[in-house]
Amino acid sequence: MARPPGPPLPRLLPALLLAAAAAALPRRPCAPAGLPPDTVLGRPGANVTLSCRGEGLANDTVSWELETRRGRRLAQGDALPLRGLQRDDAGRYSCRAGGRPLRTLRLLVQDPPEVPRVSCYRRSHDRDVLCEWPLRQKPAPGTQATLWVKRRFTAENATEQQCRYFSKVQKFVCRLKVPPGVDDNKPLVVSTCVRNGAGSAAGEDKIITLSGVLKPDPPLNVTVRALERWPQRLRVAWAYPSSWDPRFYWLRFQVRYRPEPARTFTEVDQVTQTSLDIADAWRGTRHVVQVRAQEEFGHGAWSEWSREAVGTPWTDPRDLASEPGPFSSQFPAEDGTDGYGATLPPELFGAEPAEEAADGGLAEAGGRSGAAPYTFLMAGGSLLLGIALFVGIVVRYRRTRRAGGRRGAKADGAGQHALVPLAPPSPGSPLSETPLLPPAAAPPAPGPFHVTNLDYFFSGK
Amino acid sequence: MCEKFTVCENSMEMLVQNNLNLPKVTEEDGCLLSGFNEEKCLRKISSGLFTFQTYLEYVQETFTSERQKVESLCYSTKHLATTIRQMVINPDEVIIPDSATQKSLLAKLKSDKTWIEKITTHLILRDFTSFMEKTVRAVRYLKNTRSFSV
Repeated sequence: MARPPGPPLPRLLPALLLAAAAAALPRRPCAPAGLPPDTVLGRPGANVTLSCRGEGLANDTVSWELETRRGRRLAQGDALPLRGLQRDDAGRYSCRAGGRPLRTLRLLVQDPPEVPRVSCYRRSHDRDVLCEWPLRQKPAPGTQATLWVKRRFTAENATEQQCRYFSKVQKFVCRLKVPPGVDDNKPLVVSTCVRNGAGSAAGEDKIITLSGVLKPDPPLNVTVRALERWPQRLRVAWAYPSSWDPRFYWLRFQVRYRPEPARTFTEVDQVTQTSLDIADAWRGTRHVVQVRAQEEFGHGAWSEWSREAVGTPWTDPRDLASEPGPFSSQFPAEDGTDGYGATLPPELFGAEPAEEAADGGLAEAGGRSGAAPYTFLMAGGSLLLGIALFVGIVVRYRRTRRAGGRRGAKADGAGQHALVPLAPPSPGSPLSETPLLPPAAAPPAPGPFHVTNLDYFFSGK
Repeated sequence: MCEKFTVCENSMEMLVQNNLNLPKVTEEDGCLLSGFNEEKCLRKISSGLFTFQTYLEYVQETFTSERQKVESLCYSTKHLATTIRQMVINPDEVIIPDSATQKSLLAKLKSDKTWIEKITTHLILRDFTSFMEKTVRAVRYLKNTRSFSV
């Protein structure tokens, strides 16, 4: 970030050059569309007087009629004053005297066009570039939008495209045919002009490169699948958007996921394949997953995020029957007393805020009053510590009595992160109770939790 | 470059009218999906990478704060150029600049103006990146469509 203090000149120079270059670009003329004869222009809200010029005729013999509202007589007289023009006042007005038509005037009620603010994008290397701009208001009838494109620093003639208005999205869109063989990194100049009877507006010249305007469509068919026997894994798979041909050009992806109760996503970058295994999913929790794409070398913009896909990791049916959780399962099921297992349900652990989790906040699991967390923490922590020690002693006592029955009763088939050997069953060891301390003291990084996934600590409650 | 010398994209693109003669993959080289031509494309890539060698040596001298990185870039570029040359049916058609050409190019690139030096370095690295992107796509396409091992 911090740039070494360089000589002031280089920083100034590019700006100067830019300004000079911009001034040197010949501006494309963008004149208002001329008004055809017998056409009168009025802005909405303005007053306009139409004149029949039936000279020599008595005022009361001239009558006016608006073609679209035939039959409804307007004021009489040579001059027809119209106040506070509205859009539907537009139309053809004819005046007649004694049944003889004298003149027809066309009244346009419109504002000059809005200044176009163009943005261009391209769905893939083999698609045309689309340049578009949004409008605040429906364009007046007869509004024409034109776009020119030419290679920068060349004398070649610009190619001209007419743009179309799409009322559904309230946008003008121009399709820019890309001639084959144009270098993706060469700058192109895009100019725009919108005109109608009331005026014209030129957009600022835009300099684009074909690779810089790439913006893929979001990935398709995102699926989230559980992996049998992996209670913390989810396999996400997706497909290239149909507008992107992966035979030659590739995309890179970003995957983001969160357990449903959490608010923030965890993002995984630099994914070049179309699948990804999430290894730190919450047990038994539904996860929301989205994927987005960008050209593999980082040209252009990221796509929008794909549609949300959801999935829940595999749950051991046996766990569902008895007590779930990684901590209670550290012990052979028969050994874990009800009391112990209940103090450490994983979902509560996972939902702990960071600081609490960091210093024995497990006790907080029951009531999250938050009024005096620290006193509560201290009390709870020491209580837990005591319980854990007690359980440890009981376990050890039982174990020794059973003469080293189950060795390694529970392998860590539960997750990619080998569970930290909180209590390796080594009955003979005089230190066997010490490993029991960590669970009570809320280990800084117990096996199944990914430190990078902050959601474990800041989760929605 | 952008962070260290404030020579970034957009800021200096006005000066693109350079006469550095950096190798470029164009449509005629048969390296794009339409009109892909294995032999022609590989020949171009190999020749281009050999040519870049000299330019990268120049960068090695000017971009001293990243010397180690540039050195390994030089080395691996040479390695890649040689590998791809072996894939060409007629390796003799790959153009490898002789030492006299290299020397005169290096001399031509040198400038006593720091500013020009920086711009030159920037342009070389930019075009090298672009060349490598095209190389990656072409070689990957070959690997996926023909059955040979790279």
